[in-house]
Parts: sequence; C-alpha cells; structure tokens
Amino acid sequence: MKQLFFTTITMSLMLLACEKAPKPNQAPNNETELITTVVLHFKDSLMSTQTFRWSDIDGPGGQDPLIDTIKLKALNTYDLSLDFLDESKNPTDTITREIEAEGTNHLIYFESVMSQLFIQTKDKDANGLALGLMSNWQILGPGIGKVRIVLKHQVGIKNGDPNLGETDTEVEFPVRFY
Amino acid sequence: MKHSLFIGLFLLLASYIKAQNGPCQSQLRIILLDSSSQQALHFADIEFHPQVENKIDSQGHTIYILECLVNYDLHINHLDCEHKDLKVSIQSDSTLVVYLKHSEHSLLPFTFKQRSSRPDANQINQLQIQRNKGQSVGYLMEQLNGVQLIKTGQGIAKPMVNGLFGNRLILLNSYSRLEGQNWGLDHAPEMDPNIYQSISIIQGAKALRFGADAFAAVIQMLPISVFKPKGKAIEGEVNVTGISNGWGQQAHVHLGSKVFEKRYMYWQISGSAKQIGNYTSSQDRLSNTAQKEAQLTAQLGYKHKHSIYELLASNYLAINGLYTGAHVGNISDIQKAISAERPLYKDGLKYNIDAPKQTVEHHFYQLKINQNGHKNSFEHILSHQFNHRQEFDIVRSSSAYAGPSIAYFLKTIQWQSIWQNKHIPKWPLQLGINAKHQINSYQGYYFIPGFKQNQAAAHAMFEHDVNRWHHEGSLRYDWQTYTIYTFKHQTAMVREPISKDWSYTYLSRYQIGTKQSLQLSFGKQWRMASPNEQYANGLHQSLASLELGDSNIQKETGHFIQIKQQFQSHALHFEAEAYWQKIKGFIQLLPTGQFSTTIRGLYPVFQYKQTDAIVFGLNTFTHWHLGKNKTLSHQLYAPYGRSTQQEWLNYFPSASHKFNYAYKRNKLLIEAWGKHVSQQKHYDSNTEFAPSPKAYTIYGVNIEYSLKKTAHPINLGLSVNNLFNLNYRDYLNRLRYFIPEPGINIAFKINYNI
Repeated sequence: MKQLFFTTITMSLMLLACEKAPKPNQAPNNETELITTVVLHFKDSLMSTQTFRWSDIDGPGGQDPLIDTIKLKALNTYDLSLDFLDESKNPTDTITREIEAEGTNHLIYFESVMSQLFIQTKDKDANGLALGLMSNWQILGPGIGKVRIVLKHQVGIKNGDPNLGETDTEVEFPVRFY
Repeated sequence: MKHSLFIGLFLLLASYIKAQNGPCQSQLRIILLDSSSQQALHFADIEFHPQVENKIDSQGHTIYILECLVNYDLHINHLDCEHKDLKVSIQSDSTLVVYLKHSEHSLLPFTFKQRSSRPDANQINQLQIQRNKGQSVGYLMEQLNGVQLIKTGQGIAKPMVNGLFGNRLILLNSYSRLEGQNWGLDHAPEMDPNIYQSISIIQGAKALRFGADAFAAVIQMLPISVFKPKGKAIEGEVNVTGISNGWGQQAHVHLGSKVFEKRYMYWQISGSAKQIGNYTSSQDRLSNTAQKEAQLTAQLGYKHKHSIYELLASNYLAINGLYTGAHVGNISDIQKAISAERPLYKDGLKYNIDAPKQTVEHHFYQLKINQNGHKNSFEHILSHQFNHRQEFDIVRSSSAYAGPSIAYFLKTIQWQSIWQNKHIPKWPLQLGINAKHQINSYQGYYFIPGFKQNQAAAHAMFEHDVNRWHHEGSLRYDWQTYTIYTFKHQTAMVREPISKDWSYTYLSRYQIGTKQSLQLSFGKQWRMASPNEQYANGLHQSLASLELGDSNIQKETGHFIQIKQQFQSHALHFEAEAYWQKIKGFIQLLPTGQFSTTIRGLYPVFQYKQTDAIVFGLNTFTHWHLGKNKTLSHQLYAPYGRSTQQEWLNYFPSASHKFNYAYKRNKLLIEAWGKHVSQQKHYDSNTEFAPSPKAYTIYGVNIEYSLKKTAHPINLGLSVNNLFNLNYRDYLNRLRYFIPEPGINIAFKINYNI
C-alpha cells in the first residue's frame, strides 16, 4: 500500500516535469535576426546602376560566403547605397530600414588602403552624426585591391568613434578599377 | 533482526556540580561514533523515557537535561541500524560515547576515515555552507581539496578538480548524477547550495559506482536529511543575507518535522531566492552582470522496520547576465577590448538582465529506497531530471525577435540498484547495476546535435580490513549507445555509435603507528566522446570563435595513480596527495590556424582533437591548533597538464596557496584568509587571445557571532572578500579579456533557528 502511494507521487511529479520539448531530430531553425547579405547599389553620373553582393545565407560555418568583385570605372564618381538583408528568412527580411530608423545606434564605415579610392559618407543620423548607408565613391585611377565595409552597433555610446560597439558586419570585397 | 552493538560509556570532566534549590539537573551530551572508522554519525533519533528537555550549545551540539540519579530509558535509532535500548543515569555533567557497528551496513559511499572531527579537506560541512551564504554552489566547492573554478564572468562558476572539469567531473545531487549540458564551459552546476548539509569528494573504490568517467572526481552534495527533526514541532531555519557588491539580497527558509508522533514519517521544505545587481570591479560597475537564482525543494521520508523511503523534488531557476561586451563581433573586437585599460561597457546599479544572458531551469526528482538486513541490504534509486537552458544573444534592434537564440532541453532518467552483502566474513561486497536514458533536443540555430542516449552498467566493490591495512577495490563494465541527429550543410545525418569498456579502481591504506597513514590508489577510467565533441558546428559568441567537432573522435581512456600521506596528532593535521594520470585520446578544443569568413568578420576556427595527455600534480592540506582558541591552515594546489607532444594543456589552473587564521572564543569567531594565485605560464599561446594575467594575492575576513544560543539560536555573520579592493584578472575567467574580477564585497548574514 505504501509502495503504491510513493509510486503514485513519483509518477505524478514526473508528469509535471515533462514540458513541451521538441524532438531530438528536429531541424535547426534560426528565428533570431541575422544579417546574411550586404548589397551594394552603385549609381554613376549617368544614372546607370550596378549591384554587387556579399552573402552567406547559411550563416557562420557551413558553405563559404559568396563574394562579388566590385568592378568600377576609373576616373568616375559613384553614389553608393547599401542594403542589409536577412535572406535566411522567407520572405527575405530587409534590415536596412531598421538601421535607418535606429540610426543613432549604428555606424557604417569603410576601410581601404587603396590610394585610388576616396569615400565620403553622405547621410547622418537624428543626432547629426554620420550613418553610412549612403556614401560617395571617387575612383581616382585604375587598380586592384580590397575594401572593407563595417557596420557597428553602438547602443547609447555612439559619438563618431568607429572603434566603439559590436561589429554586426565586417565584409571585405575584392575591388577592380579599370 | 537484532544487531549487536558495542557500547562504551565514558564519564568526562564533571566540571562542577549544580547546587540548586529544587531538583538536581545535569547535562548529557551524546556522541555516536562508527566503531571501525571512529567517524561521527549524525542524524540519529535519540529518545528518552521519561522525556527530557534539550538545548543547543555553542558548537551546535544537542545537550540533554537529565535529573540526577534518575534512570532513563534511551532509544537510539540511526538511519542504517535498528533502534537500540540503553539505560542511563548520571549525577553530574557527562558525555556518553556510543560506538555503533555502522559501516558494515552502510551503503553510503562516503567513508573518509579520520580519527577525529577535525577539518576535512574533502568535505564541506553545514557550518561552512552557512558561512558562505549568498554564494553560488561553485564558490562553495572551491574549499574542497584540489578544486578551482573556471568562470564566465562572476555568476557562472564551474568547478574543476586538479585541472579537469565538465564531462570529466561527476556532480551528484543526492545520489544521482547531475545532468545538464555539462559540456559547456559557461554552464554552471544547476544546484542551489542552500539545501545541502554537506558537499564531499568521494574517493577510492566507492566512486566507481557513479560512473567510469570521473577523471577529475566525484563530488556529492547531500541535501539536509529529511529525518533530522525530533518531533512534530516544526524545526528549521531562516537565513537572510545582504551582499554589498551588486547590492544583492538572499532569503532562505527551511522547515521540517515529523508528520505523526508515533510513526517515522517526515516532511521538509526548503525555499530560497537571491538577486544581485550589476557588480563592480575595483573601479567600475559592469554593464549587464546581474544574476538571479531561486529554488524550491521538498522531501518526504518514511522509516518502517528495516526500510527507509525518501522522496526528493527540487526545482531550480537561474538567470545570469553576460557582460554586455561579451558577445563581440570578431577577433579585432576582442583585441580592442584587450588593449583597453578599463572595461568598455559600464552601467549603473540595475537588477534587470538583458541579452546577452542565460536562463536555466532544472527539475530534479528522486526516489530512494533502502532495505537493511543483517547480511543483505539493498538500495534502489530512481531519478528524473529535466534541464531547460536558454541562451539569448544580443538583439540587434528593438523590433527583432527577442526570444532565445538557442534553447536546450535535456531529459534524463537514471536508475540504480545496489546489493550490499556480508555473506563472506570480513569481506563486505557491494554489487550494483544502473541504467540511464537521456534525450537532448534544441530549438534555434545549430550548435550541438540533438541525440538520444542509453547506458547500462554493472559494478562490484569489495572492502577488507586486516591488521593495519585497509583494502578496497571495484570493477565496472559499461555499455553505451547514442543516436545522434546532426545537420551539416543543411543535410540531416543520423549516427549511432556504441561503446563499451571496463573500468576499475583499487585503493590500499596502511596505518603507520597511531598518527600516520599512507595510501596508494590506482585505476582505469574511460569516457566516450560526447556528441558536442564529435558534431559541434557553430559560433561560440563569448569566445569569438567557430567551434567544430570531429566525428572521428572516439573515447578517452585514462589510467591514474595517486599516493596520499596523512598525519594527525592532537595539534596538527597534515595530508599530501600526489597524483599522475595518463589519458589516451584526451579530447580538447585546439586552434586549427584557419579563419572562417563570416558576415561579422574573421573568426578563428577551433576544432576538437584527440591527443595523449598526462595530468599530474600535488595537493597539500595542513591544519594547526596553535593554542586553545587559535588555528592556522594552509592549502596548496599545483596541477599540471601536458600532451605527450610536450605542449601544455589549456585552461589549466596555475599553482595556488590559501592561508587561513582563525580565532574562536565563546560566541565570537574571527577568521582572516589570504589566497595567492601564481601566473599561469604553462599554456599554448596559440590558443589564447591575450597573455595570462599576472599573479595576484587577495585577502578576506570572516566574523561570526552567536547572538543567542538557547531556545531559538540566532547567529550573525560578516564576511569580506577582496578586502583591499584589488584590481586583478584571473586566467580561468573566460571573460578576462573584457573585465577584471570583482572588487571588495561585504556580505552580512542573519541566521535564525526555529
């Protein structure tokens, strides 16, 4: 009789413990917001556009990212607008609008050692500090090199210093000016 | 069935005879000792007829008030023995020492043999647990021999013994293995220290019962026994603690009693809750470093004739904030943090915890049945655990999904049956079988695979005492099978490895004279590679690295030898333990030298690899009684780990010393302590982002005062950690690149006994 009493208590307590766990063979699914793709839209003075992409749709690890080579004409000036996308979601989530809306928490900057390239950020956030979604590229001559585009997340600490905050993207493109 | 008990009666120190108007009364203290190990036995039922009153003295002992020269019937009823009747009559203050032949029936694995109740390097008692109220369980374990902590910030502290931790260290909650994503370096044990009466390292052949994989040690946490109360009156305690660093608070209530006067049925409830806000280093308050911890535990116990039934249900919840800068972007961000003199993210005092953070809830249920007989005893244990761990990465924007990035669900059922028999004289034998069934699943992105695991094992253990020798040995055979569901390049794969092997331990101890003993033990242990070591694939945020498993990794097999010398005199207790372990196929995470290109930049790639390793070192423990009220103690830990290719193993503690001076008089105890940790020079610099921090020494003070000793005792405590507010970093804190260790911390405690 007493054994039954204890067994009943044990079984009921064990039932209470069983929460809704998924099955062990369930496929992974990433609900968190990822940036998988950076898209560069260049517009030249004749209003013709070129698009280059850096994308890693399956996230870190897995397949290597697909990286376009930026090919631009020397002795030209281009306006660049950037798009940040989460292509792991269906439909693709456009993160760019959020970066714009929370501009005071973001900073995009460009790094390159190529002397033929001169980049100037054009847009500003609500506090008047540079944002970086829109920029102007002056190509001063032909050459081959690299350019790095960095998006920093600087919640509450943005002051123009590119070294602050977390790096949300840091993508490097091979570059050819011809 | 009756057991024969040997009773010794000692009358000690009749210090004075009470001259009173009215009946003469004397005080009687009862000490129960195991007849072969001289070790104190606790939590016996002691009943006098006619009934007597009792009180608690300054050391926490129960003192019975008897009338002089009156005959009392005394019943002693201990956990693993039948009750026994004695007749007692005293005429002055006396101490009664009763020897019980306890160990022959004992199924308790812990029998560290020592001749007195001196401080034990391998056990933390309830007084020490009390002294450390407000700390999480890892910090308590740090007082055990050879234990250090590997931390991720302050709220997450994982024990390591002689340099080994995680899947090589078995933690027992009562008698069941704690199962909760143990592979994670930033996963602290899911136990709240408030419910325990002791935390001990189980040594020798007795440890093999709990697993073949205890390369480090088996540490057992025993909850306060449900059979402790003396009657139907509710007993227990209330503890309130205030913590200055982080302005934290903790409250703990523990209650229990007998359910019926005439039956041995008991209940117990323990509940505690703690919160600490953002804490400070010596100079800055660090952003998002708050923590919260709570538990609720209930026990039911019943003793009837030769059987004991115990049911334990425990629920634990912890939320830990990870320092805001912990989830960096990439390797250049880590380098910026390392070169910064002060932490980059500071904040005010806040208790709310944002991402990055971890939450864990752990439910544990255990049924334990003991049946004791003259020649045969049985112990059956069945437990169920459910561990739900959620990791929250930093959210990019306020509209983004704010749920967990990964949630793990781990369900484990364990069963053990032990048969202890005494059919062969002087050769008590223990035979046992155990089984485990476990399911691990997750939601979110892939980091480790989901899997099912089944395990079964059988073991045999003997003990033999002859003249000055004590021998014990155990042999175990395990069979394990996994079904692992991995995803690689979006393709699902199923793997079903099976492993089986023998393991054994042998220990011999020789008593030299009356004060010294020398002990030798050796054995073989093994561990199958865990699913994360074979199939991990993902970013480890707080270490800015990509971790990959290797499906070719098989098992680790270790052989160890340990020599221990103990000396115990009236004034001095000394023990030294030297150990050497060779682990073939030692699995560790090593840099591949390659980098993975991710959208956040370059991440170094680390992969699990097997090598052959040797772990060796020395631990010493010394305790002096300097005078009537003064004691001095010292501990040295010096572990080393090296692969056979002559490279040092990573995350190994450096040598450290601890000193403690204590002065106790009447109601007051004052302790001063110091801890020196040397700089770790033995590591592979290719695996580290920054050189190891320099050596440091921190100091602390502990004061305890018994405000009230009789009726409902009240004890006050004040402890200070990092007394001189030193700014220092610890090699074993994985966030040392970003933040230093905490500055000065003062905890004030009130303990009220019901």
